[in-house]
Amino acid sequence: MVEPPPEKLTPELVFREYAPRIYNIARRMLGNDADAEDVTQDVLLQVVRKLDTFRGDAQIATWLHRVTVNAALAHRQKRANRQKHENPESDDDLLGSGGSITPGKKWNVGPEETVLAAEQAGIIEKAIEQLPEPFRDVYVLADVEELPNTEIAEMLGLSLAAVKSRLHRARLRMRDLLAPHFEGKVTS
Amino acid sequence: MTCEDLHKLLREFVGNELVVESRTTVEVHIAGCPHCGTLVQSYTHVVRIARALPKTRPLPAAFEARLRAMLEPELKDE
Ligand SMILES: [Zn+2]
Repeated sequence: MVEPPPEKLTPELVFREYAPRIYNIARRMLGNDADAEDVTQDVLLQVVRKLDTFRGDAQIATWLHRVTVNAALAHRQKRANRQKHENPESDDDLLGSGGSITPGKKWNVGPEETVLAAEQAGIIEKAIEQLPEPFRDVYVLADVEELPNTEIAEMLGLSLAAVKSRLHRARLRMRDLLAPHFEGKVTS
Repeated sequence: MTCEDLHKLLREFVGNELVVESRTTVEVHIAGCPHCGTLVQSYTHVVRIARALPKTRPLPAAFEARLRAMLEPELKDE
């Protein structure tokens, strides 16, 4: 069997292939369309202008993740500066202390469910929007985008331990937010 | 192993990062503790549904048109 030759990276291909990915990450991190559009435009301009320097799909994907996250963080920073200046909040201020664990009931879900119904996806997206930003960033990059923790630590300027801790607490919060939708519908 | 101990190992357990001995200890605890069994089940599901979310989002039509217009010189370069 002959592999098809790798497609040459043209601006059109990058646009079609990557704009919806960039937009998706920015939209989840920033929580609204207008900011996500600004970031997507910014990142696409950068990538199209640097296209000659990339040597293939894997390299460009890594680079795009990094640049998109940077642009989203910068955008958020700019917005925060325009609004009032707040004291940086600690993780505990944002999520309550300790990441306490509520016992909960069994969730009514199939063990191998990999495709989400549209309604479910909507509920999950809403829950992600409710995570405080530092936790949302880590959750989106680690669990949705499936990037390695070390890469996330580098992108966000955090220690590896901080990434792991935020990820854990973000998941616990997601569990609390989603529990009303998923638990207790079956008797067992 | 107490429930507290299990909570501390939850992320690593679900991420399959524990050495066999610790993993077994957790599994034994879960088998005898319905609370922790439920916790592991729901936590695992939180991880799984995130992975099942779409990795792309279609650009709003008006935005795509604007973007294309802006990138026009580059896009028709080939
Ligand atoms: Zn227990």
